[in-house]
Amino acid sequence: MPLLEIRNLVTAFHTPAGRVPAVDGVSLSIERGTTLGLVGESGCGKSVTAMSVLGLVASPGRIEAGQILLDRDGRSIDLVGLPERQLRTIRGGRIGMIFQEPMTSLNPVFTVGNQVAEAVRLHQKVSRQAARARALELLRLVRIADPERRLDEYPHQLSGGMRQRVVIAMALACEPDLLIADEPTTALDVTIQAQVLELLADLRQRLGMAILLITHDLGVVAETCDEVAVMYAGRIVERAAAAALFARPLHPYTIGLLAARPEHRRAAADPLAAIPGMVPQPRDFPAGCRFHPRCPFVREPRCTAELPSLRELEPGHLVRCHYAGDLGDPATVPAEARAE
Amino acid sequence: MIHHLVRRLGLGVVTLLLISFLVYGLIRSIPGTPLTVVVSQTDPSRRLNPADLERMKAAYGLDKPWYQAYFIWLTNVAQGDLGRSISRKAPVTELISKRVGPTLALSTGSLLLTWLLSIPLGIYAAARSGRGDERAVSLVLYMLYSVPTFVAALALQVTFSLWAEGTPWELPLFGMTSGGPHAGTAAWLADVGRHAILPLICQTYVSLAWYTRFINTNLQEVLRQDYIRTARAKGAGTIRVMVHHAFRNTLIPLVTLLGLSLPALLGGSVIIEQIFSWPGMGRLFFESLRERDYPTIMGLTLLFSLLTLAGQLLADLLYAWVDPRVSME
Ligand SMILES: Nc1ncnc2c1ncn2[C@@H]1O[C@H](COP(=O)(O)OP(=O)(O)OP(=O)(O)O)[C@@H](O)[C@H]1O
Ligand code: SF4
Ligand SMILES: [Mg+2]
Repeated sequence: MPLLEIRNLVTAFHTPAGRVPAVDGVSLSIERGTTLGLVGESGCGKSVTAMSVLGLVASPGRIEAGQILLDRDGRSIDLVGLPERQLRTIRGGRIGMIFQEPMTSLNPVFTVGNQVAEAVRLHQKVSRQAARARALELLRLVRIADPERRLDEYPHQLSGGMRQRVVIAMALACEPDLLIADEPTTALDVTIQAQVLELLADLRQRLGMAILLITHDLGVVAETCDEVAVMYAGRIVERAAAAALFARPLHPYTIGLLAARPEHRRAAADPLAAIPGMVPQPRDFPAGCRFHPRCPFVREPRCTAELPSLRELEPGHLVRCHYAGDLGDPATVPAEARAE
Repeated sequence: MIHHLVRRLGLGVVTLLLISFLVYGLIRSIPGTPLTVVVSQTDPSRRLNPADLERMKAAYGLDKPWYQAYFIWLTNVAQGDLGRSISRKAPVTELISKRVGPTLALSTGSLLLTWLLSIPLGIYAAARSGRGDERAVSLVLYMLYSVPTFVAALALQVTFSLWAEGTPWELPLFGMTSGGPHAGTAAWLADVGRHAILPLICQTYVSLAWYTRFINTNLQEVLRQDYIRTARAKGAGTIRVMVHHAFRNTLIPLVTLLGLSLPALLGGSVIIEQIFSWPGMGRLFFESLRERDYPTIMGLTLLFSLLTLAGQLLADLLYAWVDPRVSME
């Protein structure tokens, strides 16, 4: 049984302008102790997927369908529809989460020690002193220099990298089975990014937890992930072991993403080097394959009319494309550009 | 911070001097003097003979040009002497100290009530934002906010004095006591309490509506912050998120407000004190203005300006106290 299995998750926002299906039938699974990379362009629904797992989708959003099954001591519980009281024990207890914005993710009016200790005391009946001692231990675990002093400092006295370490310490307070990291390094500068990623990889080994790593950066995925899921316009379009995906991407979108990586940009003659066109907004997702307006391999009428299913083309390698494995030659000019 | 406080104090003293100077000039330029007003009040048919008028003018320093008189007043103030009231024949300090109590009773009572009610109401409204009950509460508060004080006072007086006459709900219309029990006794306290109910309601409802809205709006802003999401992801429940994480952050603008409301605490409400014949500072100010009682007006002006300055300093200190990002160095 996987640690976490998401089945056909649909999460939509009911705005005055209409229904916004940000996550539209996502299925994923994460095995214990492994790292799953969730990649995709901005706005494709990665964060909403993560927030759905924690039951923290902000109003007017709502999980409308699907299951989120968590393995809890050999019993599988569905987080969708779980009462708030029980969800609270999962949040920060079984599943920890860290966010993209380290500068603003800590409460400015409480000390670091106070906030880390709170993460402990929310889930364990321990004394203040014990929680503080545990907080100190956690700050050491995430390798914050001079942790005794940091305990009594406020977030504004810490650098971005250090604040992110504090957020990680909080997320790890109860030794969760799963850590969701939503673009944990995007806001940090390059050297700090590398340090934080290295810390996460190291912590995963030491604590044996699984990580759901959300990122734009395929380079990060290549270095740290066991499995990869590629998301486009609210859906998973490709899922595979990281090695297989990088060796042989099957979906045209993944092919495009890989070709758009900075180290490949030099070969700019390649028509896929940057994917032309815009990410569609959830309110006007195109019919048929959602990638078809930007796909260089699009074939009428099937691609524009029929929704491709997620099929297992090779063992463990799933792809949502009618012609994956048999794409033929790319059009030199993609559909969207042709239309103009 | 210390530097900032010192600067603010220096600026405050300058402002104080400027205000008192301007106010002095202004009241002296209003037609009528304390003498003409006093005399015409005591006996309109009698006209003061010119020689007497001159003598009285000299006695009160009214024969000198106003800027000269101002400096005499200032010198006296520097020596701790606020002068004597012209129309009331008593030292200004004594007049003020008699009126401070009643005003403080109303204003602190009102402030306490406002805070006690608006904080839970504001938190509740923010937590239930957009739902039916929150909209109902907000609508009622908004309507209250738009009712003018004198209308509310009238409505209260009609309800509790006319309609409730003879029932246990009847409340006194005017004044602070019925004059029966001796001051300081429990019966006297109860009597004052009964007299205070209507003015207290009158003085509270607007600020209650305003504060609730202020807290609600600020909380909603705070609830959008990333650290609130972090707190939820840690497993904090709604109440803990609202009270511990979010409200603690709204305290920052709130204490600033508390500092700034310090002068109003002693100033009292002219309208309410006038309508309910409450013997407080607001009325004293109003009456001394009508009587052109320069020393009392100046004494009160000085006091309110000082309080405004103190309030600003208090706001700064409280601000530094609740927001760790502001350091005291
Ligand atoms: N509160 C909301 N109200 C309405 N729509 C929302 C709301 N939050 C998110 N969405 C919609 O959901 C879509 C997916 O958002 P999400 O934050 O999951 O994207 P993402 O993949 O995490 O992007 P990024 O890489 O920029 O973080 C967005 O296109 C947005 O239109
Ligand atoms: S289904 Fe068609 S349009 Fe969609 S990715 Fe495959 S080839 Fe391109
Ligand atoms: Mg996101």
